[in-house]
Amino acid sequence: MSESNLTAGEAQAWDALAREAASAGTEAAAIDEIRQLLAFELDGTAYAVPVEQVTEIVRMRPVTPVPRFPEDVLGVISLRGEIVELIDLRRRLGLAPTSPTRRSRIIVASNSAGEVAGMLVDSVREVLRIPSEAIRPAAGSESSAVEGLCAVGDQFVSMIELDRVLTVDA
Amino acid sequence: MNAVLETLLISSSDIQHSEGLELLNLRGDALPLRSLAAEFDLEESTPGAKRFAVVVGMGDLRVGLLVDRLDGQQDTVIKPIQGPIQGVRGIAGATELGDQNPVLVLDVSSLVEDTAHKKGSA
Repeated sequence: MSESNLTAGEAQAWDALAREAASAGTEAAAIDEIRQLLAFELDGTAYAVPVEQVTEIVRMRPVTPVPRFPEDVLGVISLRGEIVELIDLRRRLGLAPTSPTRRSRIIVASNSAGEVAGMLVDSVREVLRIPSEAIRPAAGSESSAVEGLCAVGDQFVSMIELDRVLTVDA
Repeated sequence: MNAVLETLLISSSDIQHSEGLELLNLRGDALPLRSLAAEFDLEESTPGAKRFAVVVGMGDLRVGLLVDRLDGQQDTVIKPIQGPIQGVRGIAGATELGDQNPVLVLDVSSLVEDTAHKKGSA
């Protein structure tokens, strides 16, 4: 059947059906959306950041302190010749600072403005695949860096909002 | 660095004072000295009998930056520091000399400018 044989009414009905199918598709996708999170540890607690914003994970390397930097920024590191700021995520989240160990890792990530920085964490655990509906909004204050919580086994993982961490307090 | 005019090894007894500023008599001209450690609020190493000064200049202004040690001279590319912190006064950028150790590069013009203002307000 060629298109010209359709009556105006039939064409409209088909259009409506197509629209319905399309919107149902996106709804279903939203429900089934799996978020990939990189889980890491700070002070014995599990935290996570969206994998899409992580550029790489590297071991601890020489840090050059920079005068006049805020206290929770350790200094700068070199990533294949690129000079990148290194944030002490423990301090940034108000946890007690500690010296790096053999398990310490630097998670290099970018915020929504495209600014790249390293974050020092105690250790990196795994990549989690979490359905987005399993992520609950965090109970903390609006300004808290934790935007959500998800249960993995019997433990809660705190999701970090990178835009609130990879930023400078004026 | 084209801003560096010369480097000096000076002894503490060469340093003279005027209005709270440290001065060095450099071939008849008064060269204001400035401790980089103090400028950046770093812990100052106890000055020994001998100190190093890097004489930098911008236009007609000359400043002797007091440093702990001179490490050498190298041609390199200055990279911007990437991250959310947008620039620190006195630091132009950084570079890496091949050993993963970032080296900060000073912004001579702002350091010299700051010294000139300090002198003016003293």
